[in-house]
Amino acid sequence: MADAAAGDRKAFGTLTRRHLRRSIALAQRVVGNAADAEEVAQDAFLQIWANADRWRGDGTRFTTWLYRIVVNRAIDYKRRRSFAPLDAADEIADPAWSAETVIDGIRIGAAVDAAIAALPERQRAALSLCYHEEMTCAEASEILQVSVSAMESLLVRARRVVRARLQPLIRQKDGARS
Amino acid sequence: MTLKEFKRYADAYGADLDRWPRAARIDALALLDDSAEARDLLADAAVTDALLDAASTPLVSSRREAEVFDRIADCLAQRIVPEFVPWFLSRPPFRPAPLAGFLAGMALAGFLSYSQGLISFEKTSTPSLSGVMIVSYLGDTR
Repeated sequence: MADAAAGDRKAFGTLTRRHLRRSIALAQRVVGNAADAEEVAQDAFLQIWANADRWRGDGTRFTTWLYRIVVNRAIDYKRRRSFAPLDAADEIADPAWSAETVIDGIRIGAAVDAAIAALPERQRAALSLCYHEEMTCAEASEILQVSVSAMESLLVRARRVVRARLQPLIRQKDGARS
Repeated sequence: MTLKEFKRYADAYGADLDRWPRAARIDALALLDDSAEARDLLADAAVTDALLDAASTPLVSSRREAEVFDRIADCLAQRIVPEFVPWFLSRPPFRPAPLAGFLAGMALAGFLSYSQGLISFEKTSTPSLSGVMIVSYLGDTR
């Protein structure tokens, strides 16, 4: 990163190759679709190149800085998209499905995806970082620039909302077991 | 650890105690031994974990990754500063030296031109103050 910060394009290329895939995946979890995630990741890396000389290697991990930019851009992107006309917006599946329609793992996955997609951006980002990207709460709190306690609150709310939305599915599974 | 605190940790971190803050783990284990309610809370958290595990994982293929990489490279190529940068566009540490050299060269050229008579400064008659101040409404000086 120090070389990239000094304007070395080759070093920046190496850095991009190393982190691009995970950045796209993280962005996709927050924005909810592949095309937007690619645009977010692209913007994030261009922003990093443009501001590379501002990066300070004094203990701040590059990935923390990178994921902070990716998540912030993804949240901004998602917010802007939420004001787009309805016909341009992505369809979100209705989480209130009937028990009969849930017949296999794919449908369960789709239901969980829909429940996560309906979360507010920061809760979704918190869940993605801590649960799916397996970061510690402290790492994720640095990325979202909140305290660890605030990060825990985001996680608590996110998990409770997901669970509440998927309650019919849980009841159905419990019913099938008993 | 109270049951309320236990519930908050379970809601935040899930059923895997390894993911909980280190300081809370021992107290949590002690509470789990003593409290059936705590065990129920952890079981509930495990159900939520299982649901979250069922979420689809974004698949980023190599082709897709390469396409994004190429787009980034294209954008950089359009914005890139050329290898040869004129001294007046160079980065600040290199800017003063060529600027000083340029100014010294211009001063020397001016001195030599004057000393060789290539340029001369002739005195021209300046209009008197009264002449300058009398200006017609059409802007002509009388």
